[in-house]
Amino acid sequence: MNNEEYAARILDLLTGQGASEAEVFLEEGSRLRIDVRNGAVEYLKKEDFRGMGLRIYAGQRMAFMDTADFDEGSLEKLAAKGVELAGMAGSDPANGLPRETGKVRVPSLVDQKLFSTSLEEKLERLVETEQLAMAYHPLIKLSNGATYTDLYRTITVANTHGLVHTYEETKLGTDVSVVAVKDDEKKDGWDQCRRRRYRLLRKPAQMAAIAGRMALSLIGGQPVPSQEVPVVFDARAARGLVGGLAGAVNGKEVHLDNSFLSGMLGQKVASPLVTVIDDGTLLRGVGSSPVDGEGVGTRKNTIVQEGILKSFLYDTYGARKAGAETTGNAIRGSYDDLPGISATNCYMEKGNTRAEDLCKDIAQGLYVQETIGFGTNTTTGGYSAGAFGRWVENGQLTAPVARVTIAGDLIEIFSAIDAVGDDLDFNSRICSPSFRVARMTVAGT
Amino acid sequence: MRRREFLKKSACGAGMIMVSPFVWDGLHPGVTMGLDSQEEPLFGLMKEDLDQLLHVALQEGGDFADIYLERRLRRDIILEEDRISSIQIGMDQGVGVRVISGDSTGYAYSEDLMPGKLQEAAKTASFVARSGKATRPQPVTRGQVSDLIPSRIPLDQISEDQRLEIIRRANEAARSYDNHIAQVEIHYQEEIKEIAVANSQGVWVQDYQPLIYFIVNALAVDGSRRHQGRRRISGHMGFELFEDDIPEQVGRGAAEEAVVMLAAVDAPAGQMPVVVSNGWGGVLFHEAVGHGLEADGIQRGTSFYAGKVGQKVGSELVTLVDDATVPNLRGSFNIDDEGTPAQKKILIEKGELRGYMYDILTGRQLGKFSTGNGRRQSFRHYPLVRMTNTYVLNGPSKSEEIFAETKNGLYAKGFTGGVVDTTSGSFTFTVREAYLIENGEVTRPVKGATLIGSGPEVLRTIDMVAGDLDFAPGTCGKGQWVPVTSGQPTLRIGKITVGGTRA
Repeated sequence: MNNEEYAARILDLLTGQGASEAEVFLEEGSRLRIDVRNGAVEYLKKEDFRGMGLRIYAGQRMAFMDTADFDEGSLEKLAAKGVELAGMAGSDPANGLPRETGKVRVPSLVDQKLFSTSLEEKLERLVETEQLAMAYHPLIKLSNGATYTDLYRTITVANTHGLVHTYEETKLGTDVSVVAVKDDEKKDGWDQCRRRRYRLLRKPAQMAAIAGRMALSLIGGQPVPSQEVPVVFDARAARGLVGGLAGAVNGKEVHLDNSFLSGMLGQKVASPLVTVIDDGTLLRGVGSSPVDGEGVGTRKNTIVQEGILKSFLYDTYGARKAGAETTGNAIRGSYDDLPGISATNCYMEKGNTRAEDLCKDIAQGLYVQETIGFGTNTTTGGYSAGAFGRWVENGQLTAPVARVTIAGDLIEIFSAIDAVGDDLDFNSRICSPSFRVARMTVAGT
Repeated sequence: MRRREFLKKSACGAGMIMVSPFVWDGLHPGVTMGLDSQEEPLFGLMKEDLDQLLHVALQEGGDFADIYLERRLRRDIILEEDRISSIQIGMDQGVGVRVISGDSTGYAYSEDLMPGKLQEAAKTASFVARSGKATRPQPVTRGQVSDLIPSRIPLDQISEDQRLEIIRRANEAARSYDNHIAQVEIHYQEEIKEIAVANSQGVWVQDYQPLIYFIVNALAVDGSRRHQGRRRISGHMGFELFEDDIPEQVGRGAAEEAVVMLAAVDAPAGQMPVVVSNGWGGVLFHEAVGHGLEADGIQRGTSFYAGKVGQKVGSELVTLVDDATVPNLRGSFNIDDEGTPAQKKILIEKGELRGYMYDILTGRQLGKFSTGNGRRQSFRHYPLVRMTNTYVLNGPSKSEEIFAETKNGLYAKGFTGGVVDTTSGSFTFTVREAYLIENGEVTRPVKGATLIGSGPEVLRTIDMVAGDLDFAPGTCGKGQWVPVTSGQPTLRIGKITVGGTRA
């Protein structure tokens, strides 16, 4: 029996127990993780997993059951319990499952070559990456190691309206982190790469250089006095701000008035230089899939177009609640998670300023290479994070800066963007080119 | 043999009635789940089975192997918009096998309990051992565990209606607190977890770890002003967590914060004294100091605190402990996830660094014993050195004195959370609920405050500590999530950078 046939049987079981609607989300696959440190394997982990999540309805009431136990007897009991639980939940007219919308054609998400790539080769790649990063400069003295992960999985989602989809995917990643040491100071520098295909992974030398350069650039950072200055975010640090926006366009939270973007549709929320897209169909995007977590076809949604807020993101439930259409943004972390609204591949479109030139016209300012902390409060729109980077004087990067915070209102920050770089790289679900904010509060000494 | 037959067979062998396929029976109130782990071996895996698995794990060599068995029944009930929007029940079970060879760790697990599958996992984990010469494990002997997380009202005897009632009461209390409360969202999370650990040094122990996490978020709206207030309670315990009017208190607490903060003004920016409230303020020590005292960073030499035992690293007012033995807290247990008994460790005593936290691996690497800090998210994860309940002991001041002696500064009452860069020691905390201190009085609420500094610096600049130690629950992420508690009395950081928008 294949997974779709199996899912159909589970649906029969659930309707047989009295469910008025039901959905099966079946996930099966394997993961590998290798950690290397100081040239040797630190951790090696192999996983095979299989599990399912069931949304079970009694009219407009819903329960969710998940299990990795596929024993027939267990499943029968689980089904009965699920139907009983659904009856105990609150009735909500927005509850219910999507109808078939048809699958979007997304080019293959599977890298066949991954299956023929040996463990030894992956291991060698890591050892080389770490070695090159350690050799980058004499001040690089410690290693946090290098990590390789890959995932293969097949997903089947089916519901009692006859919707059924199955797709496979592979995801890969490499990370490296090394530490520069100078007197009593230590600072790490890192790089990470997320891809769909093994051959598209960033080369060891390139990752090593990014990590090494970062640690060297930031070692010995000190706070600067509190002031308002132009702030340039490099492409990795900029992701945090785009992520804050992506979190705030959750259509359900907007409807519940729990987002600072509630009621802002059609209004100006950013500079005309800013266009933000969420695209579940992006070629080889790590967040791409033919259908979302409840089987609805994914699509490209323009969130902000030249500064104007154009759309929110919805799943079926959130859309019904808000009187909108689902945008194919029902996302599940794994089979044991309820689907919830989230971005797929969310990015700010690249601009036409060369990334190297963003600091050029700044007399005094901050170049941010790393942020830590929670960032955006999606309820209020307040943004605040700790920042590491370099001070900018007369267009040149000067002393390293650490332990300052940058803060502001997210709409004001996005509205003050006066240059967007050309260095967008699709390396994670949230991506951004580097950009410059005309003025922000930097808090230090 | 089919899996079910195998389980039945093991069950008969063990004289037990409770095996995996029937775990769902435990969902019906009144039927106990047979979870008395002190008595019956988990999954019916007996001494011979465990000895055999450890033997397979060390067949290719290696210095150490262990087997981690886990069964977890999870509930997650959500209330939104005055109605129960979702009731989730989930079940995980599986067996993880680890092999340590030198500094290398191999790990694999199986959700399938068939002997063949378990042996396959053991063989996979043995990949890191290449000596080819088998290591002989010591035969396991069942050990006793303490009773630090007893349940007075066991969770497996609670009906769904009782749970829903608690949620509704908290919702009602939050909603009726003030007419500015626009939304209330409640998460009731519960797990009934049993674990067993057996290792190649002969250890075999089992623990029963019930856990409840109850979270109320209340959103107040006034025109374009919004604030989401939050209160959380948690414990490794039974339903007694909700005694008396606890649900109402939690609901009102979240609502009160939300309403008060509607009037918040922008946070100041710059350096100033910050008074940190007792309880969840302890997260500051968890992040800013605790992570740097986990022995993996020490072994790598990347932690700021590496090589500093015996040195003065903070104010004499600071004594910091990590203590898994406080009864029923969210970070407490009888044994950690490597089978080591819970311990209380003094990390910093009167400002002097006394020691680090170890798991089995880092203990081996650094010539120490595990301090019972080996923890994992689930059987799908290998253990890492993690904190449990980390807190600062009481000091000599009264909290009123601390405020009175602070002319101007910030009072940080509630944190959204914190993050640390253990390498540089830098951390940030997002303050969700904060107030200005003006002329020794707590005055206006402020929004958007972040604290940033370095752990070592903060430890040095603490200049007043009160005697009102309290605890608060949280979940700590380090690639894996584990439940923890942070705690501290009210205290003052003499000077720290507050990141606000008013420069």
